[in-house]
Amino acid sequence: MKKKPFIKPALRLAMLWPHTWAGVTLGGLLMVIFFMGSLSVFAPEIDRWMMPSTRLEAPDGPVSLDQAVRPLVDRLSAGRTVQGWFVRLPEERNPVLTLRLRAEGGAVNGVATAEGAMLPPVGTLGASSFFYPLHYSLHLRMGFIGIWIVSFATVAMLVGLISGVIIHARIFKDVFTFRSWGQTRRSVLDLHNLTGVLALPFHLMISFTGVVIIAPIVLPSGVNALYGGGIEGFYNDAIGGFDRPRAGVVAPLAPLDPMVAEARRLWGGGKVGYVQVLHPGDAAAYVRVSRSTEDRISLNNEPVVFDGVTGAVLKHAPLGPVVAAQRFLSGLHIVAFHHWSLRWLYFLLGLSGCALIGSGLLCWLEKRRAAHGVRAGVGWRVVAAMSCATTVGLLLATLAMMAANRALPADAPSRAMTEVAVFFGVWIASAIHAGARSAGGAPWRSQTGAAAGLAVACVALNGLTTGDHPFQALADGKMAVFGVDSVLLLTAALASAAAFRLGRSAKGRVGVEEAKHA
Amino acid sequence: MRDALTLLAVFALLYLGCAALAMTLDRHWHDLVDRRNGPLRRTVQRLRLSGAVCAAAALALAIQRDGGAFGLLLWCLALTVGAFAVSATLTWRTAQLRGAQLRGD
Repeated sequence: MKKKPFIKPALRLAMLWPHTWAGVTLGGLLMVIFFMGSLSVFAPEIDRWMMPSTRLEAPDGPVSLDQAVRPLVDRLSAGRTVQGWFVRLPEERNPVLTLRLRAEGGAVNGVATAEGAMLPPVGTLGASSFFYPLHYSLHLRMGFIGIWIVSFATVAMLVGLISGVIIHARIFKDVFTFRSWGQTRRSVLDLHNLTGVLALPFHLMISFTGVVIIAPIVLPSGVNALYGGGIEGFYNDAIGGFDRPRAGVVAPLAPLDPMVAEARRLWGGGKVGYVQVLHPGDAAAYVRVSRSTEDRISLNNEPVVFDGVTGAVLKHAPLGPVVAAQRFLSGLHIVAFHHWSLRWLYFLLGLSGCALIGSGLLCWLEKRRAAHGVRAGVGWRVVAAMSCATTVGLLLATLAMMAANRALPADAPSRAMTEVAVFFGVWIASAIHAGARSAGGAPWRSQTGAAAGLAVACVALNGLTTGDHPFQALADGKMAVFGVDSVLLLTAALASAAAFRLGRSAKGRVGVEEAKHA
Repeated sequence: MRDALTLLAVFALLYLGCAALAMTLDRHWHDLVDRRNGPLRRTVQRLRLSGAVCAAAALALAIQRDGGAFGLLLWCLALTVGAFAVSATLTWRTAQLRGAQLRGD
């Protein structure tokens, strides 16, 4: 008796078109999201690389808020009334004090050493304010439109993953199969299946938790019904927020260090992540002390709210079960914890997601190339150019921004914005180049070669402008700089190897075409 | 030091476990061991059992090293990396053997 197939051919066919359409239309966008997400895993390390003045050693003990931080707040406010301030305390990966002040006449930001010495402005958005927001919001902040687009693409990714598993004819027999020899088309399909199936748990986890983080924004009905659209009120109730208006009566702010000690006692140990002070100098002042989440997966930072004048505890409530689950799933995505092996695994598996999407696009292109022969239609050319621009082009733009970061003088006017302009300028240029040259296939080889050159240029420029060439950085224990430089050099090596092989196979292909015509 | 060795052991065990499972698949057995005959049923069972034992030992080590939550996460992601490494090894060995056959050695 013939065994009935587990998945019917009709179902498989029905799954094929959403898989193809989701991949071809949203593949480029997903590539941006996955690549920038992978970089964001190491955002503080890339920040150290891009902000040389912050390449410091982490302090040994805790920082005194009263002695180190409050004088800085007074200096930054320069006599104006402060409505509130925020400080992130230094730690191993982020060895600086980051201050944000909301004062009369606008906000002021500052970066200082753990001892309380102000550092010059960093002059760059860095990875944490450019690559990371690009990952989740595409820098389209108005009306959360970027977040909406990203979450739509993420749901399409989930559709692609699940339909891909259903389409895959021999999922168990081919689990480990990668045939590097023979037809390019088969090798690319093998790579697509391999990265899709072996890393499936990671891809499902990261896509699902990605949507869970922004669930209150993309599934707003519950919040709307209960809080009349006020998402602030929801967050106050859900994750230990607290709010009360200014009283208008002058009262001095109590010492902060005892509050920190009390918060640590309530937590039963742990480190302080950040501290917020609202309405300082007013009778209604309050202080929120949040725990660092470096030792746990969950983002539950157990905020403790103190009265700013008396120092009494105003609020310290455990999370409800649903919010606790959301905080855990968010933490699983954001990797705020200190665990270097897991951090590298997230980075590598994130890049395997890029390989999955990229090989999917290549699969589509190679299949159509075989079907249409040499003459390429407009649709094929558009997908070819888009694939090139969103993979190698995106890498080029990122490397160009990092090179510009080291090449621009420290006091250049609007330095941060110039870097952003370089990023988008190079990206657009690579897309135009890819579009113009897409007739015989996108200019993969020349752009990959350019990426290799730029990666080497980044390392060289960093060595020249800061003196922290890889050996020096290693000797000084600046592991963040050494790590970024090493990955850049590895990128250069892989990109030049790829460019070399592409050159060889291009020659081979021309040879075959000539032989056909002869 | 001990932490690093445990980590290495987790990866090594998962690599071995995946390798054992890979050899139960006809394709890889034909490519690398015996071109004509598939693995015996007894061999397949033994390979599967040793694969499962390796994976379980790796899970125990990972949880012992990092605690429940971190250990389980580490195990899941390291399993994927181990599987990728096995796939790369299979590709490398098979390509090598094919090359030797094409040259007529």
